[in-house]
Amino acid sequence: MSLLSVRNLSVAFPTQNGWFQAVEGIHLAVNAGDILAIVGESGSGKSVAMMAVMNLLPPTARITCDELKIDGQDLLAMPAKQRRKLNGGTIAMIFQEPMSSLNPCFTVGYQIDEAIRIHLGGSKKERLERALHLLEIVGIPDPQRRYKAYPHQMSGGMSQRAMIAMALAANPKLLIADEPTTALDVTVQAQILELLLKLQQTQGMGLILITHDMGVVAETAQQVVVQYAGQQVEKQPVFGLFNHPHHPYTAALLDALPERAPAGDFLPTIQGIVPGQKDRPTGCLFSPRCTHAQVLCHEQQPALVRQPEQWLRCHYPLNPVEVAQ
Amino acid sequence: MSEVLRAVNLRQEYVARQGLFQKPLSVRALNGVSFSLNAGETLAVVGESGCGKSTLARSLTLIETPSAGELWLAGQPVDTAHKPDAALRQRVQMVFQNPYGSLNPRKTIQQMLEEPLLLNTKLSRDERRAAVADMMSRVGLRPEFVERYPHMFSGGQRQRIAIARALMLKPKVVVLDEPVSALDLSVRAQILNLLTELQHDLGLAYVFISHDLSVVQRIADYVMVMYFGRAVEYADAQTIFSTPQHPYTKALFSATPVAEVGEKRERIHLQGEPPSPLRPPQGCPFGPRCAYVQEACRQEIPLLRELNKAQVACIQAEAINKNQTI
Ligand SMILES: Nc1ncnc2c1ncn2[C@@H]1O[C@H](COP(=O)(O)OP(=O)(O)OP(=O)(O)O)[C@@H](O)[C@H]1O
Ligand SMILES: Nc1ncnc2c1ncn2[C@@H]1O[C@H](COP(=O)(O)OP(=O)(O)OP(=O)(O)O)[C@@H](O)[C@H]1O
Ligand code: SF4
Ligand code: SF4
Ligand SMILES: [Mg+2]
Ligand SMILES: [Mg+2]
Repeated sequence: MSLLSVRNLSVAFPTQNGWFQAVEGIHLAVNAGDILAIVGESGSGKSVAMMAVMNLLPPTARITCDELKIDGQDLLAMPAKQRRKLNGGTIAMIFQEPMSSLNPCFTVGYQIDEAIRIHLGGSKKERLERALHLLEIVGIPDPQRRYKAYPHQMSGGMSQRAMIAMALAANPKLLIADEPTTALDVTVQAQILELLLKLQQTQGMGLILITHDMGVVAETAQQVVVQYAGQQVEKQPVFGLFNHPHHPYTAALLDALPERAPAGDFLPTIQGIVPGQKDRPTGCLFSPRCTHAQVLCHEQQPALVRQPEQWLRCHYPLNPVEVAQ
Repeated sequence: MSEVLRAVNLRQEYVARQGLFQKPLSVRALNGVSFSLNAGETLAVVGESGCGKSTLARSLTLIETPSAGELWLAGQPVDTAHKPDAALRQRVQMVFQNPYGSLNPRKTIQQMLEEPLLLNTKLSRDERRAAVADMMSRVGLRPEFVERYPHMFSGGQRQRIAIARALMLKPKVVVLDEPVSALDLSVRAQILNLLTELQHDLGLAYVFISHDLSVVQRIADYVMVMYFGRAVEYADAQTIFSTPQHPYTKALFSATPVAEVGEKRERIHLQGEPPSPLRPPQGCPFGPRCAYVQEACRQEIPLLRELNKAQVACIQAEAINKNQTI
């Protein structure tokens, strides 16, 4: 059974210049034990889409969705209060900016204890043991001391790990990890990824991993979705995505990998800027910046074609031969 | 080339209260770091989480006054005991690791980017607006976004706002704490190119803190590897990436995930965890986790010394290097 199923989710925000479409018709299906990575342009709606799933967007946001189910429960039919109870228990999220997600007025230990108390309960002693255990498995040195520390007394990477500990407090079935390792050095990063993989393998935890780190994607993900300007433009198993990207945006993104880029002072970039509200193209949203664009691209928006193994939104896919095989 | 920034033996100690009745603890986050940086050069600072990188950044910019040590800016000593004056602020800028926390939630982006120009230049209103618009496009943000407040942005967009703000006054030195980790590859490339361009044009010097070694390799002239509040290795980028000499540097460099599917780099797994500042290890701080540790390592803290074009704080570096090349 599908752990998370999202059909046609869209989110818009009111701004001075009218509605801003942050997320446009995205779909997600995650089963127990799945690892789905979401990559893509900064500002393409990755975090907003996940915040919509968690019901954490400001009330001004306009959210529409055809289906939103978690662990068999229909969230669209559920009162907000009941929905909130799922958060932290069935489904948990590691937020992108740990230092602004932790409450500065409470110690880290208190905040982890809260999460355990609400979702798992247990005696004070049991909760303390679990909290220290969590701090330890996320690799925080000196858990006893950090338990009593306030967020501002910790380094960036430590607050990030404290967030991860909090998200794992109640053994969630689905974990949404939004840039979980950006503030971490590579050794700790490797340790956290191993921990998440272990939970995925032993407990069948489903994992949605949002990251800009292609190394992390290559090493952990099974499927990868690529987003651009609020839309999903491509989905492929990880190997195919890295070796035969079909969407020109995906290809351009991979070209900017520092280790793939040609030597020299400047790295390859994508010319131009994402479309705004006023200059939203009638055709493909990537067409003003796409080096492969043709007449049709400027006239007609490509639809997201979803096949079991791959999704694509492009009139003129790259590497088409490899697809057929 | 001319030196723009020099740090001598910078130290920072924090006093952490542990509840009402317990004795406050002192945490030595920075334990004597020195370096010199020329105009037009980039020093990258790398090292494990909690090793003191952000503390170093805050000391260099006098956001926190260091508990000891000297700072020199363009050959002039800086009064480290006091908050920086306006002239110093203009010359040394910082991009924080946590951009959201450093952006005023009640100001629009326009106000935020315009403010330093208003205070420090004689530009007219139109000129200021034009300068803001130009900077917005350079960091890849939509011009109409200037009327928005910080909470209305994605993580990577906020990061770019913080970078734009630091660059507005064309400072001499910019300390960037994890400036590109929240950015997608293409925007990251755009920002790195912008930094390189400004460095070429204006001779900016950067202290660039990053966990991303592929970025460091790309942009750094010099690399400082920190461990437990100290530099354990310092060399030019070419040297350190081709022949890392300190056991910690070797372990750090081996753990980078590779952006190729199916390819996993051989990893030296670091045993144990970073030392606790409350119970610092005897002698070499890396000793408890070092595969090459000997009795001699526990005697005293190894100092940086010249070795094969680098500075290395390991008493056995020669022997270790010899064994590994065979
Ligand atoms: N409250 C808001 N009002 C208006 N626009 C918003 C608001 N919150 C987010 N946005 C916009 O929605 C878009 C999507 O933001 P989101 O945070 O999902 O991006 P993202 O893909 O997570 O990017 P990043 O990789 O930089 O974190 C952005 O363009 C952002 O500016
Ligand atoms: N205000 C403070 N009070 C007490 N301890 C602090 C304070 N600020 C930092 N520390 C401690 O100082 C040490 C160094 O922290 P710093 O933020 O410099 O690390 P960092 O190298 O930037 O790590 P990261 O890569 O995780 O950002 C850590 O052990 C941290 O817990
Ligand atoms: S549809 Fe056309 S413009 Fe859009 S990505 Fe494909 S080739 Fe480029
Ligand atoms: S001095 Fe000794 S313990 Fe320290 S890094 Fe060198 S070999 Fe290892
Ligand atoms: Mg985001
Ligand atoms: Mg830091």
